[in-house]
Amino acid sequence: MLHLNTDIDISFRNAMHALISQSQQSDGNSGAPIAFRGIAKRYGEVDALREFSLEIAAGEFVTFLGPSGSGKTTALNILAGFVEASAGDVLIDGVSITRLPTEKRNVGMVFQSYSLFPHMDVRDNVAFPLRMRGVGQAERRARAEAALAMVRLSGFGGRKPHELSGGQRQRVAFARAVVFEPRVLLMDEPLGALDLKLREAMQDEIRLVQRRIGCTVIYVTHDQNEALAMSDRIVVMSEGRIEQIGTPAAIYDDPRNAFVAQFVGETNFLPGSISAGRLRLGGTNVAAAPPMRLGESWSGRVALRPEHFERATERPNGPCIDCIITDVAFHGGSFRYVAEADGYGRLVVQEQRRPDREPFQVGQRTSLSFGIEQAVFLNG
Amino acid sequence: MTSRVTRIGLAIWFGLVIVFLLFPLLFLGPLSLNASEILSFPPQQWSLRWYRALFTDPSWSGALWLSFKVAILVTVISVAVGTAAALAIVRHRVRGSAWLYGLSIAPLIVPGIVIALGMFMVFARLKWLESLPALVLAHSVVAVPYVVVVVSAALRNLDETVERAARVLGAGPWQTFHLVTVPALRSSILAGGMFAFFASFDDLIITLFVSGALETLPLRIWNDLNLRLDPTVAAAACVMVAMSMAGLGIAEFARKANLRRLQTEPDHG
Repeated sequence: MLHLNTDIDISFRNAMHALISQSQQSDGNSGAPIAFRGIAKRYGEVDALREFSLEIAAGEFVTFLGPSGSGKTTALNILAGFVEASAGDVLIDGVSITRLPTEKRNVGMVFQSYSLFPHMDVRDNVAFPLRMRGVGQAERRARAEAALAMVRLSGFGGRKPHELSGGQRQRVAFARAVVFEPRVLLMDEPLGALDLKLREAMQDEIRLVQRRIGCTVIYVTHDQNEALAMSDRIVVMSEGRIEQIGTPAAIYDDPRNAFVAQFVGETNFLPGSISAGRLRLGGTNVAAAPPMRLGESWSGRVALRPEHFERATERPNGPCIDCIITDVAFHGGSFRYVAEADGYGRLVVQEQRRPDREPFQVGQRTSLSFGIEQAVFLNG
Repeated sequence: MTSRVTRIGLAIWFGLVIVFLLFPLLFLGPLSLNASEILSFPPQQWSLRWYRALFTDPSWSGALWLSFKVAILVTVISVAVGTAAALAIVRHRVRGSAWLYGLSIAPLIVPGIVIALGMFMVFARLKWLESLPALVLAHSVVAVPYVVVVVSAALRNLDETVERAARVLGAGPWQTFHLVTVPALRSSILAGGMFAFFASFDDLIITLFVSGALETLPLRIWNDLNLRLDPTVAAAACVMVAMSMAGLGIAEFARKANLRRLQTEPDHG
């Protein structure tokens, strides 16, 4: 297995070098900046997208993350030209593309359903964008082969799409989308139809290729793990609105509201309040100083990630919660516990596995603590 | 135990139905190979003379050629109109596309005699009866629905993002149509065209009302039966059956293969 991977890695790297030297020969390919300016889309009474404004830097990998109906695909389709915005403007490289037909926008795109041309073989599929750009037959063939080698499908050029597996088809679709070295690459849930292992392998592959080609990527997904793993920045969306924009770490560590906290990663919410400058969590006074910005009086929710809890020691690092363990799940490098705490309800706790301590057992009573500086205070 | 009895019973029933359906052929085959001047069964002597007559006797070969010419023209018109209609109905979701679909397949449901009578009255008023264009137009009315049904089914199975992919990768609307949409649907369009061809090729009722002196092969057979009974009729019938079986067999195979290939794309969403 390891041996196989190394082999693949070497051939992959060689192919990448071939592709990159080609791209340097052409126009020093690099990503283009993208700007959404006040985009809105209404379908009758429904706002699919409202006041959508976003600046994306050249070469940036930005993910639109949200549940279905959040407007993420609508925003992508407006950029691609499949859907016309009700208001606003989209710019690529500082030039408005709102009035350009789809085929003139010069962007690459990968779809969830692969969308290969069923009657063309793999090579013709990959060469299609080059053919549309008037590239000659010989060069077309060479560049299609290089792109296929890049996605580790050398020798598959003569096959028809229906003869390939799902993962292979998606790699062909990816090769087809980047073969003409677009400065902007759009990906609409490209890994949604693949199984978990394949998805993780493809995530790495996509990132690697993107870094080397340098194109700007907009990636649409509802999978928060995918978004956290791949993105330079994440745009969290719900109901046609942007909830938060930030790096994966910023969004994970400092979610702006309960929706983001809940949608990205796992979160425990504790009811909290401050009166006369004293913090109460779940009805218990806590000996910890609340953030100054909240003032003397506040009420809302306190969000804590599962890994923020620790076993309380004699000198705990913050507030302590007494609880009883109700479920234990082994996750390889860590354990995931479900605990029931008086006054707080159900808590999800994650603990690294360590040789010097026994894991909790179901039914065990324990006390957990957390550092108040890791807690996120959310209004409402 | 019952299932075994049921199975045998069904097998016998199936055999009977097949025999019933093929019964005319069991007579027509030998009849067409009969050396005798009159239609007699079973034949005393064997000969291919009636097949020779079919292709050499001007009244027969002329009818065969006319039928062929009309059917080809009908096929061309039906494929163009039917494919365009399917695109409008499935892809562009024009206002009232459900109605448009219903309207375009209505000739399959309305009894042929009603359509024939309607055609007759319209063409009589226009003084168009007994002309080739009138015959082609009349046949096209009943042939177009086959193309609409077959092509729109295939189009529904062709993921719309395939066409979107072509557009975003640099193809204009027309290039997308002729480089992606049409080739992806090629076998279904071929199948629809075959069905249209035979809708025209073996039509008698509409031809009876509209064509007058223009004698297609089915009309020639019909007229022959009214006058005298010439064994060339049997030869003509056998040729028609063979052509239909081959043509419709190919069409059905192509249609199924096309749908299967399109369905290997995963569901969207």
